[in-house]
Amino acid sequence: MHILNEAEFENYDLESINLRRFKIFNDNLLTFLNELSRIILSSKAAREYPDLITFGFFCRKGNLLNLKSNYSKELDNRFGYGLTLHIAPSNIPINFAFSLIFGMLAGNSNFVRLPSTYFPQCELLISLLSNQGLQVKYPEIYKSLVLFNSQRNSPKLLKLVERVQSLVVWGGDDTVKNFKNFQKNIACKELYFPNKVSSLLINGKAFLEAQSKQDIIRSFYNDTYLVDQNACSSPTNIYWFGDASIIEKAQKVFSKELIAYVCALKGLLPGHLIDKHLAVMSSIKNYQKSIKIEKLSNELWITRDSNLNPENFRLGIFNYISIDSINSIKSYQRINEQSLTYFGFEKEFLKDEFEQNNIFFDRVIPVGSALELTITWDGVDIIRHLSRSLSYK
Amino acid sequence: MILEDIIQLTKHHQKNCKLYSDYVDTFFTEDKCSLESMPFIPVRAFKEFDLMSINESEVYKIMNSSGTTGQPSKIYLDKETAKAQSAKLIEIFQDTFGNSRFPMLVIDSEETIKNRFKFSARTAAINGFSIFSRKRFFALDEKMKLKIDELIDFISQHQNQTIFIFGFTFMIWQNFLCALKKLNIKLPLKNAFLLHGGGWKKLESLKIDNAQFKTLMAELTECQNIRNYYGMVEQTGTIFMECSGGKLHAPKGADLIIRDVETLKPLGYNSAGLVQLFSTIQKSYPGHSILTEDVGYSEDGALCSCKNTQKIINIVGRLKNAEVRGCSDAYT
Repeated sequence: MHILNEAEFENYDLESINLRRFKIFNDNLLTFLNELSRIILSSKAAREYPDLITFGFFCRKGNLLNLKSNYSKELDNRFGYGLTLHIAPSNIPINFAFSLIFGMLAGNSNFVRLPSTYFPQCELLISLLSNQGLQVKYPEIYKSLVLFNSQRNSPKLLKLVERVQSLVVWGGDDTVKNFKNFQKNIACKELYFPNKVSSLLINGKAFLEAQSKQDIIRSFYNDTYLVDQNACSSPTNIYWFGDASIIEKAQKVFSKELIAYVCALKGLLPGHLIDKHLAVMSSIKNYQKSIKIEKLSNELWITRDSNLNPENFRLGIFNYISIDSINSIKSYQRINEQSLTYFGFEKEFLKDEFEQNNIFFDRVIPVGSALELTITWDGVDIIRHLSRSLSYK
Repeated sequence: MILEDIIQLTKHHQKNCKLYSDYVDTFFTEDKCSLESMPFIPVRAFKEFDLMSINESEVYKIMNSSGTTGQPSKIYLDKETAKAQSAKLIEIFQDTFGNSRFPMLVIDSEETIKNRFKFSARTAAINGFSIFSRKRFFALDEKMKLKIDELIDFISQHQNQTIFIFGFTFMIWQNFLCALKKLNIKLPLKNAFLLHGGGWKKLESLKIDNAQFKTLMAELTECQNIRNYYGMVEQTGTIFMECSGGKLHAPKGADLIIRDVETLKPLGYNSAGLVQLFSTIQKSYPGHSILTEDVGYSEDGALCSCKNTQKIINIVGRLKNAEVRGCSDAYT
């Protein structure tokens, strides 16, 4: 396996890429990923990082066989395109690894541009992936894999973009715009994930009656504060469902417990308050007027403005919207809405309500699952998108 | 006290800059009756937003700072504010060094001011202070190496005059003093004075402090009149100049307070925190009250051995870059 720093990448000979196309979900790959999964899940250091553990679980054979069953009719004639270039986002540490696995499951060789921000769990994962035993046992896989760092204006990166058979760009809008404009192979299969926004739907009564509010708070924290509320899947709107008096009570309890939980874990880091001021300033600029903010604590700021698009809210700023019927969501939903996390509802109920009222989210999932990357993302089946189906007559 | 001026300037910018006005209405709803309660803008706002209190047609100059994450600050000046900044700089400079123009020895390369793509805080500083120069010589070539022969020529041409040496602190150490030491050369600059700025961060990582800096400078050049200054592109003009007692005082028309890095609550003297700067001359853009990302502590100016009683600033470092900017990584 090659892990290239910026200088090494600039000097890398693109001719030396070992281009391989594999069958989707091929057995050798699944066996490899299962072993990788075991290495990750048994690593003491990894336990500190819930996102790394989630990735470890994803790679288990059981999970992958389950996903594979969705393609059972195509397994013999679906292959990768060749070389896939993955442009990782700078905000979600383990995203690059998921993207890589998706590229591999789709049968491709892969170049992955690592996030330029330092994340300890990325460093750890790369070291676990570099396991000598694995490299010896699965040479085919490692020969088709390059992880690299590059400068933002890297000439070598532009050359690589011209050569690849497929390209996956994980946001944001500016990066997507840039990559759309770069020179590419005319047949290059491109997959872009521009900016998205997300919301939480919470049943006030169910929350107040919940046995373990801590569980809900922890789940919410994992969807938001864990990544500085900086993921596309992190909610910025919170829909509170129920009677006005119930909602008022529920919000008080929620806010109190959330602040306590956040402070107990890590609280705000130096400078985060400045970031929050700037995040709100962005919103003010788009909104073209001042915003009323309730600063419940430094960790939690609330707005209650159903006309506001809080897409720039970060580090613990949420827009509370009270609703007494599910179809009200339609009036407040934003055009690039991705995830709706929920608590206190049945999935089927929500499905029915949304379908009846033409309300669309890419994914509707229980609170706590926002950051779980899946092979269908933003409504796209990534495996199908990065692979092609051959036919013989 | 500058409070009244800051209050007036706040009103002025609220009236003329919509984003600033909405921002103040959002965050600063309490009575503005002390410096601590005055609205402040984070310095990074000038990178992310176009903040001006004038019409586009009145823009006379746009100052840029180099951004470490690619995006520079944009500071919009009209003729009036540009003039006021110049005048303030002249006032501060002349207070310290007298009313002349001097042959100027710039410890930098001419590329820094000539090359459009190399524009940085250094460019702005060199251009700013060049108003005090009569003849200017850049001591470094485009590779940042000392042009030693030409340098010696320049010094001998002006041997009976006071030479004004200017440069960024780290460059002076690395590309001037260390270079001279390596060449085993001493320069006859007994009558010169040195003004340097740009921060001590790089030298701190080399474990070099102000005392060592001054000692080596004196050893290699005989120059003893060495003054450090602190300033920023976002608030040009009101620089903090080192006094004869070795302290950096706020100039007239400026002030500072320190805020806790986590809570942003104001702190008193001798407590380290984020530096917030006030300046009464920034009229074309809302730069009169800026929360910087420099970390430092203040001291009571009255306790200084020099005659200046204005508040003293001590910079100890910078806030670690905790920018939370969304997922765009490869290109912005």
